[in-house]
Amino acid sequence: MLYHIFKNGWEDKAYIDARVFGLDKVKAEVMTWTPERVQDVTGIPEAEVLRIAEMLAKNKPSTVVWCMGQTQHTVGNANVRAMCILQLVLGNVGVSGGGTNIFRGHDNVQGATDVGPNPDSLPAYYGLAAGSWKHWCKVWGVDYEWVKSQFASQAMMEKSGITVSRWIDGVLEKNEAIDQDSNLRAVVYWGMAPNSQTRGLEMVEAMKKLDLLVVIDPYPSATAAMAAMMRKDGVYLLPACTQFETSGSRTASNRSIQWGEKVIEPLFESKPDHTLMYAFAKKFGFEKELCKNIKVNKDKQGWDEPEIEDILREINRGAWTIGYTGQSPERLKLHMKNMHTFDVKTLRANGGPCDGDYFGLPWPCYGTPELKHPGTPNLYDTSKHVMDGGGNFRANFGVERDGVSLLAADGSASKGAALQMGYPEFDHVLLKKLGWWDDLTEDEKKAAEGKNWKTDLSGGIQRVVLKVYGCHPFGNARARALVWNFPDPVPLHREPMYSPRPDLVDKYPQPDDKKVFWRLPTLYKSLQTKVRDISKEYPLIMTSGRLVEYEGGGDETRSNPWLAELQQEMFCEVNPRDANNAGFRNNDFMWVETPTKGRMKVRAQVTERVAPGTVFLPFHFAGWWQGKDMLEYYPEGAAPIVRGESVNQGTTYGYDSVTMMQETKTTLCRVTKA
Amino acid sequence: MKKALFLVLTVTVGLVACGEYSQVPNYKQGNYQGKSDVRPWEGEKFAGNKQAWENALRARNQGQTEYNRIK
Amino acid sequence: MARMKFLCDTERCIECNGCVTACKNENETPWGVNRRRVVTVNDGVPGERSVSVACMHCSDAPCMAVCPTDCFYKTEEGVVLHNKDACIGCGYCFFACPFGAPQFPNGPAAFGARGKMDKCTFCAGGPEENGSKAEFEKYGRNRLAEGKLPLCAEMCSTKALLAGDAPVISDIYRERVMRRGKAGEAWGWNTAYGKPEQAAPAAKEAAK
Repeated sequence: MLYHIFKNGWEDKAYIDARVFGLDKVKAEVMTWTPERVQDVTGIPEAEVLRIAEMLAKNKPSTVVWCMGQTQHTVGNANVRAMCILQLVLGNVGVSGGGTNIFRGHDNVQGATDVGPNPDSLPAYYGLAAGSWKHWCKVWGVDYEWVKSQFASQAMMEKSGITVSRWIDGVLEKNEAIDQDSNLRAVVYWGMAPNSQTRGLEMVEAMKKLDLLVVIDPYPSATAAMAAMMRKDGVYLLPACTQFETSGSRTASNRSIQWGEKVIEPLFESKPDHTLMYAFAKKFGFEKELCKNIKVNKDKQGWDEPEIEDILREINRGAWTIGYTGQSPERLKLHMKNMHTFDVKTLRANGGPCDGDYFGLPWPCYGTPELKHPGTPNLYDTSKHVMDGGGNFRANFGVERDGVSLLAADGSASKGAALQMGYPEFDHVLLKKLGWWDDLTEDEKKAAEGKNWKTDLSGGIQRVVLKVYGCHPFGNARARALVWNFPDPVPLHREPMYSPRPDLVDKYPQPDDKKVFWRLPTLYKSLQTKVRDISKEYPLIMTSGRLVEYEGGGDETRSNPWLAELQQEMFCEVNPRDANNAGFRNNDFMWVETPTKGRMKVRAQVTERVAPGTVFLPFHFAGWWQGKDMLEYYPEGAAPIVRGESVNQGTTYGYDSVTMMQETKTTLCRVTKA
Repeated sequence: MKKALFLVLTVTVGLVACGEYSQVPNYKQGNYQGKSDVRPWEGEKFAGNKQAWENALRARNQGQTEYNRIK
Repeated sequence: MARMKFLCDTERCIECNGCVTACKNENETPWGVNRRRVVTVNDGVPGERSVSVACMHCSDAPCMAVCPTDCFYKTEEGVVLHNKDACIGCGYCFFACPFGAPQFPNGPAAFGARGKMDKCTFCAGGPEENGSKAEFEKYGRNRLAEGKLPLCAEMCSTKALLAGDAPVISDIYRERVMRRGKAGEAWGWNTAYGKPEQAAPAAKEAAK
């Protein structure tokens, strides 16, 4: 599409000149992708690509939406960057109605990500450097040295961990090959579905080898059944309650936050997550440190329950990077009570107690709650004042690269900013240089000395920069089309690990294997070369995805009779042509076999939804294993109503070269009549 | 004879088609003889206030058109 | 006053089955009894359309006409309801209904073993006391008596499924057609009888 946009001069030249870095290198790569080449690799004819490119270019603003279809590939990082570049080229980023919208799959996935479950970062994307630890220790009110003493070494403390997609390799890999002292010996599955992760056949081997496996979930889930298939002890189930049985904030895909109230008391012996967390901390002897700033109450059964409002206040006190600081529980509750005062089109309150706020205070909502930042409805929008939800691109990568300025061009700052030019992020030095230091109060000066906009706990730097001078605390820079610190600075096409086209594997190979990548050796080129011709045995492309009826691993939704009735069996979508060649009809049982030796017995859904040569399987099912019902492995009465083969028994090895995201969206298989 | 009957029938049917008639047929044979049902506004909530019930329903009806929100 | 109708705007239906789930939730119907279903035509090919179907509360309802025990009655609002006490589970209504609305809790069993017929009540309960437990257990929720419309329509996320007073919902639909410049492509006169240019030769044939 970019090829056609550049060729026809549809790009937004002024926008690119002022706000984008490194596009020339991207353009050089794009122009080598002639329509013939694109059709050869993707199968999409020129007319179709041109039609969509023209539609996007001539109907602005336009947005691009995706979920996991772009990300769950070995080239996932390149795919999402390519989409962002497309929108940058069209000048669609930072405008109302534009942007890239990446939908989250579940309630509060965004919120969970923001508080840092990723193994490479503390909460709010601070990273793992010593300075980041010190910042958070100050927020938590605990001694940095004490936290350090909890780790085997400082190196381990500051080294990115193993991602969830690879935990099985943390268990199974040879000890000398992994970048940590011991292999993984215990795993806690906390609201996570094993059947949403690839290489299921190896996963049960890893479960067998573990010393300890804990499942914390409203349902025993497929984890329990898979583990019970492999072992008789060392597995513990802790019942967690659902979101309806506790209160708290939830962050949506658009970064806005809503306060949820408890609807019913937790059923049976289930407990909310934070109660379980506190109970563990108590057992391990650091409950005082865990809840230094958080009040702890007794629940009705006498368990200690940390106060949920205090937990959010602690997040507010520390998460300056993404502006998770202004959304106090009081402000969020006020929004929920006054929903009717918000305009349904702009999402902005028109009068009333929340006047001027955007609903749910979408982050960044900078400064302290007292600053009354209204939240940011669209990121990077220079047409608004920063105190009105405006913004610009972040200066996170220095001020120049290879002699080219990384800062935005003159005149491209957000509306009303005192500095109408590109500028770096703010710290105490810059503030003093600009003569803005004296706008801080005496108390703020004390707290801000030696700090920057994201470590100043008083919020003084943010207050002065935003409110007094209308500037953005994180600076004003260009968006990077060229990401020099990634393996492929310009997004490149590389054939998937298991490709149906050996000729394309030769042309677009994976990079070399990595010895240490998120603490694990990771295969790329060697594996791809090994399986270069495997499409002779497994000729069909297999992809997987979601259904509307179920959610995630599906243990909760498949246990709900109203939803379960709608989709009672695991199925595979096959084109009529492939079904006829394999000799089965619609609704017959069929086998799907993949290079992992995974064999899945599923119902055939013969449909034109998929093209010839491709099959689709949903990933929400579990509870069958290689053609057998696993009912006996669930605790009595706890099995979901609908059980079926989990597609991820059959998905193959392959991980994104930056994020370690698993490659679930493309592999190979063959189908036969069962 | 047959011809005459045919004529009579066509004329009658033709005339009937010209008249106004209720769109809801009245089933004479059998007729519903089960329990009698009360009308929706005769329950606990509206206590026979038909006007209030109609207003409530009217509001709900209008709630289905989102164009109202942007007017 | 009102004459209650459903209308499904097939240009908006996204086949999410939210209406089906809402109905099951609100009326607590058992597994296998589906008062509402979403039907998709031309599945998987361009031009695919979905339509949410339940009892259409016909003006001239065939179920009423064929019922041997005369268990059906029609309310002043045009809602077709039935008295489960009189139902003998013969299944005549099921065969008569062009929409597949009547449901039987025991599935396709022999006559008499099917159980009492269940169908969409337009969330208007049945001939028990409004809002009573007996009414809920036999017929589901009586939302109409609460001044509410059927939950399926009220919960429809795209507002494809409309329910309510016939003139009002047809006005809503008409305004949509005006704004988007086209009516439904899955149903309506053109779909049923062919587009005017297609109809022309047939009409000529008939005229001969």
